[in-house]
Amino acid sequence: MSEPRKELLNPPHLNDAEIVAYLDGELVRSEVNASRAHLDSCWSCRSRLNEVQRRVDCFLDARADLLPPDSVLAESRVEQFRERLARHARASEEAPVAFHEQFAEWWIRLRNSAAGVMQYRRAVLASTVAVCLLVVMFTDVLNTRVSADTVLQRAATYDVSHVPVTGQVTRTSVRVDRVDLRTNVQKPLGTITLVRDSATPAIYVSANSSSGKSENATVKDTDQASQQLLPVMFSGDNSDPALVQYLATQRWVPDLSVSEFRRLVGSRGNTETSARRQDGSFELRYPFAAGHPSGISETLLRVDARDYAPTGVSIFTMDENGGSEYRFTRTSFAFEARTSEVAMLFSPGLPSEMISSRPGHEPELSRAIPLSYANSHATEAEVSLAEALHKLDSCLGEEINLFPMSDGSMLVQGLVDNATRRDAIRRALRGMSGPLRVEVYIPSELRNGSELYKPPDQSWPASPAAGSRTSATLADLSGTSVPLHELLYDHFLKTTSSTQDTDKQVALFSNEIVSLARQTFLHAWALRRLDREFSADRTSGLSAAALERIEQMRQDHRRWISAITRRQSEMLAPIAGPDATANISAAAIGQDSDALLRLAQEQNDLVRSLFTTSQQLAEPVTSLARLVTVLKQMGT
Amino acid sequence: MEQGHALDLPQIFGAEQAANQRKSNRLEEQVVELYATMRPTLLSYAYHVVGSTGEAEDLVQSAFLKLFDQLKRNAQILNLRSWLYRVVHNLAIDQGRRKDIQDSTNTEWLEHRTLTESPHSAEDDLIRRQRVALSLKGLNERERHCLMLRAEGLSYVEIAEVLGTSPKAVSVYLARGLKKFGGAR
Repeated sequence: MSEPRKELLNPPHLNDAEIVAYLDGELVRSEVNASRAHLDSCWSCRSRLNEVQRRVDCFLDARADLLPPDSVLAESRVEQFRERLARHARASEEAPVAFHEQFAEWWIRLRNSAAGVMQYRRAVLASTVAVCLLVVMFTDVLNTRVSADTVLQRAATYDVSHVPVTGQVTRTSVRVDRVDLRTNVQKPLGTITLVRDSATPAIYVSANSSSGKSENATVKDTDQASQQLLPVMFSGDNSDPALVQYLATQRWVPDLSVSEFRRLVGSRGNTETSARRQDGSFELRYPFAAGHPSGISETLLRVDARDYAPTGVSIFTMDENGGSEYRFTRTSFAFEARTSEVAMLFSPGLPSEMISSRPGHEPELSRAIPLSYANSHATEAEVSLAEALHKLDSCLGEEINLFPMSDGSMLVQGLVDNATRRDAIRRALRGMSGPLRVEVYIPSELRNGSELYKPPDQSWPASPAAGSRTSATLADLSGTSVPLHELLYDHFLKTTSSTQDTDKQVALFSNEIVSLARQTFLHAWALRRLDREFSADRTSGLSAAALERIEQMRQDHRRWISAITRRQSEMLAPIAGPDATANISAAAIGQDSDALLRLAQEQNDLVRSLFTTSQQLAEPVTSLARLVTVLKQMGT
Repeated sequence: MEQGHALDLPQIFGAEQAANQRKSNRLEEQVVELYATMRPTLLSYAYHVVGSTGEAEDLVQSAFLKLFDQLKRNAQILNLRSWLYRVVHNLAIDQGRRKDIQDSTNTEWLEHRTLTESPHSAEDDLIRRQRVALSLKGLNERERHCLMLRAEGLSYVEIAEVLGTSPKAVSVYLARGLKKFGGAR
């Protein structure tokens, strides 16, 4: 007997895609028959079919929720489009047909009329590509006329994004060679390794010259790194004392970073720079003024054209023998974990002569540090970032701060509740222009709070996320000791039938009031923070468009505050009774966000004292009247 | 071959201005009519991709202007519906890239209803909306687009044309999208 085929005995289940396609009537006839037969016989697949259908229903419901509001303007939209189209048609007739349109027209005509030619499409395509290639080769289209400063700026951005973050160090290795320009003989001078720390400005340097001299040390800052490295590097080569002298005065550290390169060319005199692209990298040439005391004729920075990573520096010197090229090549660059062994390198047990630098000299930080608002101006990038965070509602009580940094970049740093939120923020900030570092942590990643910078404005009230005083979001209903319970209960007794219903009403009401009060407070807080961050002093250099965007954010918060407080007033007015609301003179608080925040704080405190049991109140009715007054003031 | 027809075109453009005008007017009318019919569904799709009604409206109109240009040039459009969706889709994606919007689901809807509708349900509404937006965010762009297009009533072949993929892939995206969406709620 031949063995029965397995799939006939036990036909395979439908996969999800097949079920969806089956429901959508998108299977071909043979598949439909097979699927139907299987579904008839298989409980599990039929159950999954129903599950898929339920998800479809679910999705349709959700989609209906997110649909744009039905516009009553549909009619006028059609009219408006009719006019737009008429204008468009007139314009396209009057305007001389643009070349590409003309071309497109001829192309279509050609295609319509001579479809037969199209069988040679590949040949046509190939010859077009060939012609393009020829054009590119001969006109040098790809040769960059990009300025050296632009590339240098991008390379600086690369550097900024490659400083070690918490828990990491970076290790850079550089090879140094000297090339005699007359004989073209290359002579190795040695290698250098620098380890930069994330927790301290200290640098571990290690230099090995090919003459056999070597030196390892941890130094306090880049200045000392320069003093430490240069003598070792040039110990076996005395051909250019003026150069060594110059490098020492410039305190140049050969780690090939852009900031160090800027130091190197800082005193070159007023010369024209140039950039050119070759073999996948940019070469930035910074000539030195003729007869420069250092003997340098030119320095050159090589930058990888793909990611703008600086890869090498060459220093050319001129003398009667023809000159030399000192070639510094980055052989490796890596982030490494800051293990305890690595941390030891930077620990306080340093030899004393290395810690004591020149007296009175402020140690220069090798890393960018956050600036306070008083010391920085707002930039367009900062406005864009603030706007992105605003759109994410991150300004409402989330502990995320925006720091202008000392090197001109921006840092977004903060703490959020969970990984989903963190990813959403990272995603939203991806693709922002300008140098930017995003450090958003979740609680488990932060062992202690010291790893976060203090907010850029010390005069801020504590973040609402931090203090527990304002963070209760649910009313406490465990007992009847909520100060207003009796009043509320009586109020809802009139409209409900059973005591259970009344209790439920009271609970719902209290919860809503407490959560609205917190919302109001968060918006007022965000508004004041905006005022601080984008004060008149800080925004003086911004464009009108940027100012408009800031104003838009402020308006958003104002709108919310007035909408929510109006809602709160409406809810509370019937409870407080006509007496409480009779003699309210709603003094306008105008544009003062400080006053607004004070009121918001007061109403939040009042709501908490009235609707939770955390505090006992002597005069609940008076407090309620005060609350209604405050809300009225804020609602205007 | 239709060479004769094609070669007539320059004459029409050059000499018979009046006839051309009439033709153009008729074409304009047809396009406006089509716009009035197709606007709602295209608009809701565009809205989901760019996240704001104003921009969505503008995108849809731009697509119809393109349609007018194409028809005027006697270009052949095989499936009008998927052509329109494709143009709207591409315009919307370009726009999104320009604005660096990564998450298109969390923009205008937040303020739209809560402020204009009765404030009674403001909180609930907000919470529900946020939950929906959150579960949509778990989907990737392809899955979201497929679901939205399918909900507008496009067939798999049409969706594949709009997104530049195959009908089989569409069914996989749909299944995966539905699964993620159902799982998130």
